[in-house]
Amino acid sequence: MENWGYLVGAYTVAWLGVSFYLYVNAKKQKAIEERLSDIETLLKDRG
Amino acid sequence: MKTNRTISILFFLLMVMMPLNLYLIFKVAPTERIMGDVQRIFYLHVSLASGAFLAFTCTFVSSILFLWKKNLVWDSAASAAAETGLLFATLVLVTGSLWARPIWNVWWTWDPRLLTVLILWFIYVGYFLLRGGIADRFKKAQYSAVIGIIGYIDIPVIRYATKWWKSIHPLLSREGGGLNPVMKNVMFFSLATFLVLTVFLFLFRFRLARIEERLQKLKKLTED
Repeated sequence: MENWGYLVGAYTVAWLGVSFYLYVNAKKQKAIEERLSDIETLLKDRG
Repeated sequence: MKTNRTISILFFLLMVMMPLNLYLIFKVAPTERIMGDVQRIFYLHVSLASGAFLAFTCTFVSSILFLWKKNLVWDSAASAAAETGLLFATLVLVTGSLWARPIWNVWWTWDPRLLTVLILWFIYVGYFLLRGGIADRFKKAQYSAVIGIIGYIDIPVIRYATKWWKSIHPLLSREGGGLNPVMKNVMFFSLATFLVLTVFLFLFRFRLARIEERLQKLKKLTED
């Protein structure tokens, strides 16, 4: 297959890019949800 | 709750569509006569571009709705869509460059289509730089809505750049631009897959933006 490096490179970059974006946002969401739960507990304790 | 369910449904749909899309591109679509196998980048490149345009259209509409309704939900939607669009626009530039190198023998050329896409990329990078630089939540939303609307003018310019100016970028007509029928069907399936991916990424980011908003509100409550 001619120029296979460019073809594989393009698909790899695209899927890695999307996967990395999802991974970063999923981590961010987890951290925010933890923080939210901490604050909600704090507010409940305060009454 | 409704958003969570939609995100889950779209995720499972993508788990089926993405491998099938790759199978169609690499196994079913015929090899192009002149460019050879590297032409298969076309299915990815065009689908990414369509996803980016769809996302930026969503930013445009949400920005107008924000300025009209003054509701921050529309700003969250606009920024979530802009982020998805910027991700896709970046990948369009990278995959385009990887396609240009073996075909045009250059990584980049100052072609009108390429240049207008690069301008679009800079506009939305500016959009996020601006958002990062303004502390006031409402002002941030107002200024970015203005960029979201003005920046969208570049989309029709990109669309017609190959007609208005001399361009070496291939022109794909609405009828398929002389594509082989099998190639055309594979292209349509690829477009559908990336449409689902765009909506999925947008909703995923939008949900995160709403959670962030809630955190900010609760933080204020604890400070008071």
